[in-house]
Amino acid sequence: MKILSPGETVDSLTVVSLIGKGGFGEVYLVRDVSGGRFALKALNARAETEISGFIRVRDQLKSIDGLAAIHSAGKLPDGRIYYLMECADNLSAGNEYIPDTLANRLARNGAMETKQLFGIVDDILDACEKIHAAGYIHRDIKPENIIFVNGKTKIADFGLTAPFGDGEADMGTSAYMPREEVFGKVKGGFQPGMDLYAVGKLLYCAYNLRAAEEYPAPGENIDPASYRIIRKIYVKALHETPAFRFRDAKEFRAELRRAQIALTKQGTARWKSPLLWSAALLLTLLAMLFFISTRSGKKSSVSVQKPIDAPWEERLFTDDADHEIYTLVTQTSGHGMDEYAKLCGTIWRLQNELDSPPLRRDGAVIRRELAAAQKEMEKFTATDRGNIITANADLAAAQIANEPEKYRIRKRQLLDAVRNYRKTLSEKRGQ
Amino acid sequence: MAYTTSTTLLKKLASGDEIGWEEFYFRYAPFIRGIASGFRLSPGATDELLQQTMVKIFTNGSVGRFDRAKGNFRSFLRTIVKHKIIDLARKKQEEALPEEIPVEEKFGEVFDASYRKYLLDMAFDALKEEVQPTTFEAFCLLIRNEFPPQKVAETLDISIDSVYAAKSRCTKKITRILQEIGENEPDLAL
Repeated sequence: MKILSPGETVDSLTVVSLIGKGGFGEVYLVRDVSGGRFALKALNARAETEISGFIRVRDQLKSIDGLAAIHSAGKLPDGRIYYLMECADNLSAGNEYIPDTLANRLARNGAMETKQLFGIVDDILDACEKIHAAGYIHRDIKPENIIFVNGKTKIADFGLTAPFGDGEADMGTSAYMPREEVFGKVKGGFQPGMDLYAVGKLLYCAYNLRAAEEYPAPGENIDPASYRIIRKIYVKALHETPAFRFRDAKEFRAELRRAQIALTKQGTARWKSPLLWSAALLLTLLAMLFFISTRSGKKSSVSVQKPIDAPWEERLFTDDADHEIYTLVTQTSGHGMDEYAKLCGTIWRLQNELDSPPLRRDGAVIRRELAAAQKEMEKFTATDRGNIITANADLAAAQIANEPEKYRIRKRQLLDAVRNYRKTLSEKRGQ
Repeated sequence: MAYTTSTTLLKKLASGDEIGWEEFYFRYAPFIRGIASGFRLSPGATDELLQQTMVKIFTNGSVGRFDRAKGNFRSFLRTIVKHKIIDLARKKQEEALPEEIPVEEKFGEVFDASYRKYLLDMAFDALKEEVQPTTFEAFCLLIRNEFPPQKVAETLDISIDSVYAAKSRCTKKITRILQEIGENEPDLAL
C-alpha cells in the first residue's frame, strides 16, 4: 500500500491532497485535466467488499439526487481499487481544502439554527426514502458521511449499502446502530429502520453538539423550549423497542414538519430582527412618502391620513397637533433615516453571513464587526433622534404584523419620543 | 468500573504498549483541551498545546521518569502542562500578539477546575451505564443544565416525583462512583 503524494497522477487525475485516512484506505482530493475536482477513495484489500456497494449505487441508485454521485472506478499503481466521487464544497476560506461535511461544519461553527438543521435532516430523509423505495439501505449514515455539494445536502460513502434482508449486521458505526443490530444477528437481515435510527442519532448529535456515544446527555447550552420539542423526535427515532420508532422516512419527515411548526409558534425560531427592521423601515419610508405627497403644505383642520394597508381603520394622526408632530418626525428623521437604514443593513448582512456557512471570512472577524455595528446601533437609539426613528420603525412593524394593540402602544411611544425631542429643542432655544 | 486505571495505563506506557498510548491520548486529551479552554486559547493554540504535551510525555522517556514516590501523576501532568502553556505564552509575546496569557496567576485555578470537570465527566459516563436513559437525562438537566425540577418534569413529560427520584438515585450512585475513582485512582485524587 502506498500513500499518494500531491502532484502524483493516476489515470489522468492529479492528486491535490490527502483528505482522510482510515482502516478502509484513504480519500484524496484530485483534479482531472479540465481542472474539475473529485474525491478519490482508495480501498485497502480488506475494504474491497465495499466495491460491491459502489457498484449498486452506480447502477441501481444513480438517479437519486441526494446521493453523492459516483463517476468511475479504477486501479492504483499499487494494485488497489479506487472509485471517484463527487467532491464536497470547501469549508475553508483559504487555500487549504476542508471538505464541507456536517461533522466539519459542527466542529467549526458550533450549533446551527434549528431551521437549517431540520432542512438538512429532511434532505437526508428524502434521500433515504428514495434509497429504501429502491430496496436498499445505506447502513452508514453519520455526520462525517453527509456532504454539501454546491450547498446541497448529499449522503456519501456507500461502502456498506446493501439490499434489504441481506447478511449480518456486523459492519457500520456502532454508535449509530440500534442495540439489536450491534449485539446480534438481526432477524430478517438489514432493514430500513437502521438508517432511520442513524438519522435520529445524527439529529441528537447535531442539535446537542455531543458525540453519538454520549446519548442521551443533553447539550450544554440548550434552550429549554426548543429542547423539549426536538428531543421528542430523536427519542422516538432512538427508542429501545423497534416497534416504537418511526415506521419509515415519511413518518420521520412529517414529525420534523410538525416540530418546525411548533417551534415557530412558540417563537423559538430565531427572528432576524434587523430583517424585520429593514422591512419596517421600508414601510415607514413608503408611509412617509405617502404623507409627504398628500400634504398641501398648509395646516389643515383635520389631517386624516390612513396608513397604507391599515386593515383596522387606524388613523395615524387626527388633528393639527398630531400633524405638526408628524411633520417634526419627518424633518427630524431626514438624514437620520439613512444612517439608521445603513446600520440595519450592516447588522442584517453580518448576521446573515454568520448564519450561512461555509463562512467566506474568518468567523471571529465577522463577529467583531457585528458587535461594533450593534454598539453603533445602541448609541444611535440612545439619542432623541434615534429614539424617534426606531419608534417609527416599531410602529410600522406592528402594522406589518397586523397587531392593533401593539400599534396603539407604539404610536403612543412615538408621540412621546417626539414630544421629548420638542421639549429638548425648546429648552435649548430657551438657553 | 470498566476502564483502565491510570496506574495500569502508566505501566502499559512505560512498557511501550502501543494501545496504551492511544488510550492515554483519548483519556487525557479532553482534560488538556479543557485547560486550553480555561485560558481561552484559539483552536490552533489548543492543538499545539495538546500535541506538545503529549509529545513531551511520550518522548524522552518522561513516563518512565515518573516517580510515584515524588508525587502523583496528576502533579506530574500539571508540571508538564504548565511549562507548555508558559512556552505558548512566551511565543505569543514574541509574535507581538495582543493577547496575554496570565499563566502564573491563573494556572492553578484553571487546572483544578478542568480536572474536576474531567473527573465529573468520567463519573457521568459511568453513571450512564447504571441507570435508565430518562433517569440519566433528568439528572443531567438538573445538575449540568441547572433546569428547575418542574422544568425537567415538563421537558421530559414525567412527573415531578420521578424527577426527585432520579435526582436521589443518581446522586447516591455518582457519589459512590466518585469514591471508587478516588480509591482506584489515587493518582487522580484532588
